[in-house]
Amino acid sequence: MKKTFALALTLFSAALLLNQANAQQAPKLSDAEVASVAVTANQIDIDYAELARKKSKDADVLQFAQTMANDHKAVIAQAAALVKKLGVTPKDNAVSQQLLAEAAKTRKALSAKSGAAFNKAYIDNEVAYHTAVIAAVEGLLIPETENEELKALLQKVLPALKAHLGHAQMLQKSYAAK
Amino acid sequence: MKRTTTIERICLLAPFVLLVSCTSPTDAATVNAASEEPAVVTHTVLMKGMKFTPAEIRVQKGNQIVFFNVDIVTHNVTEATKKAWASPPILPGESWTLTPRQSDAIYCSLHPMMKGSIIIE
Repeated sequence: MKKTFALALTLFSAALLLNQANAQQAPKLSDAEVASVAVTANQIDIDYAELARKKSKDADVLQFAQTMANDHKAVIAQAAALVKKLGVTPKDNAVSQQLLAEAAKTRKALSAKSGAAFNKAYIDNEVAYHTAVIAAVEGLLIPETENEELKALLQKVLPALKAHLGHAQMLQKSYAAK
Repeated sequence: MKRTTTIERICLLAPFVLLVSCTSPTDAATVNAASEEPAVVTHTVLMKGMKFTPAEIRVQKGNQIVFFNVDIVTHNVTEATKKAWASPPILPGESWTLTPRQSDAIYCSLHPMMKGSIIIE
């Protein structure tokens, strides 16, 4: 849970720092960097789903993980098609790298758990992760994006992220009741 | 010179005459056949922004509902109470047609927050 909080904090901090930076007319996150952060954030949840498929035997968790993998792959495919059309190459940056570093720690923590403890930790992480990603997309990525098509794609992804959060919260409640 | 011009005119008009003579009976038959059978009314429900739009669809018995997925992720349409029936996965840009037999609550089993209802009036 500490790792999840750290990841959420990373995303919130990035949004806050960039907002402060904007206020001081500091360099902005470029569209190429926004694309990198978006693809990285989606890939991280695909990797969590892959871990869940290996470690869980719970039908609800497995179905949720499959949906996460499918949906986030679809988003990456859309993003890849768009950046190709725009001639933009996603550019690695500090936010992407920090997301990956925190995700590696979270995967390690999840890997150490099994059975019901893993299921609970995975779903708790999905709630925290989607909460943080939604905040980052709304507060950081969309405001930082200059290209209208890239901005529109990010806006189109938001309802899916919110639906994922609702689904994860529903599972979280059902586990709390058990 | 005059004959040539007349032949040219006939040649130019011939395709249009043939087109009219061939298509008119067919069109008439289609209209007659359609008028003898009750018209099938088709309603459209969009799967957009992780919602069924409209969320509640009211139809007459025998009507069709086309569920059209305009989202960027795959959806399905599943009877909500007993999972009595379900569509196959509906990919982005694809659609699925249902002729409902009764009123049902529906949802997308891939995204359980996505709910709707079909009401037979």
